[in-house]
Amino acid sequence: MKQNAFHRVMSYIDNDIVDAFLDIKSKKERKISSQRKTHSFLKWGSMAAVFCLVLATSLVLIFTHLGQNADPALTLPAGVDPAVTLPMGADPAFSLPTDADQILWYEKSNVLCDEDASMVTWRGIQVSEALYEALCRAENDRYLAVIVRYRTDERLNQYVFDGKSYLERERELDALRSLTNRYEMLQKEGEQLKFKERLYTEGLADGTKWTKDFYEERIAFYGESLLSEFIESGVFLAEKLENSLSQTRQQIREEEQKISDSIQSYDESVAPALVRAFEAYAVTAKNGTVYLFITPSALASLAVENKADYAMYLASRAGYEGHLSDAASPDIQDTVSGFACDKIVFDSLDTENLRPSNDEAVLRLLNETVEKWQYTCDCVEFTFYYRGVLTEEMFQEMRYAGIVQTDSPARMIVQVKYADINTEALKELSQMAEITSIHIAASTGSLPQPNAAEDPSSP
Amino acid sequence: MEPDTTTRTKGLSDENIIELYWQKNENAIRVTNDRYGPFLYRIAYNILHDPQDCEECQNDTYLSVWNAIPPTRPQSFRAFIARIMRNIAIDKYYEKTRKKRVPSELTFSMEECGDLLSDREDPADEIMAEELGKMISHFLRLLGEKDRYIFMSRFYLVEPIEEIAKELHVTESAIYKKLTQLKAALKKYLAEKGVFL
Repeated sequence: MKQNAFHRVMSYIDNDIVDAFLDIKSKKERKISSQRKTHSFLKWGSMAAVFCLVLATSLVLIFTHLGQNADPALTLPAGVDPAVTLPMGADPAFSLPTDADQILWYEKSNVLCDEDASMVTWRGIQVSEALYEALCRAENDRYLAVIVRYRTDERLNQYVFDGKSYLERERELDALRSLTNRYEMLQKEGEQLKFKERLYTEGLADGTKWTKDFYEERIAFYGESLLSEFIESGVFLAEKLENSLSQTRQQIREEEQKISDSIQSYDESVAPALVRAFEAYAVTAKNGTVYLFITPSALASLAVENKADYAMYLASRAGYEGHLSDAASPDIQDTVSGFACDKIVFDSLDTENLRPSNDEAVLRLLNETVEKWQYTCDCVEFTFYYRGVLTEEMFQEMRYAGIVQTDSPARMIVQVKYADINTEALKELSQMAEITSIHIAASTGSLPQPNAAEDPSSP
Repeated sequence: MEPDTTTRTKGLSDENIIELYWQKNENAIRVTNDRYGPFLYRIAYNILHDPQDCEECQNDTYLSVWNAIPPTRPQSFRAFIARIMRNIAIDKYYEKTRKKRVPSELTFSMEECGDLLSDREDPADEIMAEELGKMISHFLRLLGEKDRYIFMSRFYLVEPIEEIAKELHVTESAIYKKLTQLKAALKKYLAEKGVFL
């Protein structure tokens, strides 16, 4: 029996399956990290006030301390706040460059670090892509700004905040999102489903007739109890459904806030232990985020216990200094109406795609896509499926950053930066007969380089 | 002054990278490493668990891609390089295991699926491997998204079961159970095709 045969054969899986799998994989890996990041930003303002208070207190203490133990070898980089950089190393050989510009930071200014990236193992430590690249390229004595976290999410999953563990909250949120999805679908199908088996036996007066298989699949999707709640005695209770949908959306917002609070609380609770674990190095905690300033050679011979327990990321200077910029200023027109909603699909990161039932839902989902992904993805991708011959000119109003010609002649992907999203143009395209469907998703890929992409404004 | 190629190549699409290979532009390898280095490393690491071996495999992969393009023009560059990396890493794994047993997810993963293919199927035969790959691709298309995800995570990326379970917020035993079901389904599917067993 050839045990190894199977794994070699797996290398010959069709490319589209591999691609789709890797896309989902990277999205799933981004999920928690992007939530952490988004929620951190939400909390940033309120934390700033607390931070200032801590900073002021620390300044007094540290300057007192420095005055008593001045050591010229332990100089801080300009721009690295001495008040929060503790404990400056027990190792006498340790010193930081005197200029923060000499420290290697993550290049983006709108995120704390590259926490949405996949992780690789380097010298027994889990490091992010950007940190890995920095470690491969930086001089051995160059200081890197590193964010340290516990590698496993298990601690976070088990962390109890306000009576519930993080994992319980995640599951509840997933359940609420799934319920919302079913509600939104029922808004579209409720008027038909109220006829029950007649849908596939006789068919309806307007000519609608489902197959039995499809009917059963839809019943299974909704569940008997949900259907009986909104279809009573052959009447579809649309208004009741709308109310339930509103309530569920409100619950989702509340639960997301709780998760945000939970993450912040968790980060603050574990920060002291992380700082202690790395106390032999230049380490500090800011708002629950633990920063380590270390050279590649020191990291290669890291002398901490169980170093495989930690995950490390390259930190951005803007995040460290507390002035993260907004990645985008989405200005989505929210008064547009007349979308061909039945053609629009929002590709969900979870298992089911979202199909908006009305104009309001299109705009809301578009906003949610931007809100959720603006810090981790460059743009929104609109994938158009069409029957006729479409040209790039037809998408000019979309103010696109790039157009990807796919291997299928019936598909075109239009990449639009968040700030350029034009819902009026989207509406008009959705109404075109040639376009059969439009899939919308945050793009995890890179935008084309500016000089390679055609300037949409030029003829 | 020489243009800053780092900046200029930063936003290249996969199509652009392939074009660099076609032009025999040496930047192609650097850009590939920039974009896919960690991804390739991860594939190799799951199989080999040895940083030095992984780096060697990465270099071998870049060389293979350089030699393969042209004439090849892959439709999916990522899947193309992933396939090359998998094959090189698996070869390396076999080479090492001939001498001794190495700790690897592949070892465990192989033991899980050892009964799927018979002695008659020679994986070294590329044509046969491609045919079998098509069969399994068809089987995968029949699966639901979640099942396909679990299957690919374990048998394509060779991810540890613990990691898959964490990602999906389920227990490890649930993943084991699901993998057992999937293997049984695949075995049945292959038997129905009359190709194996």
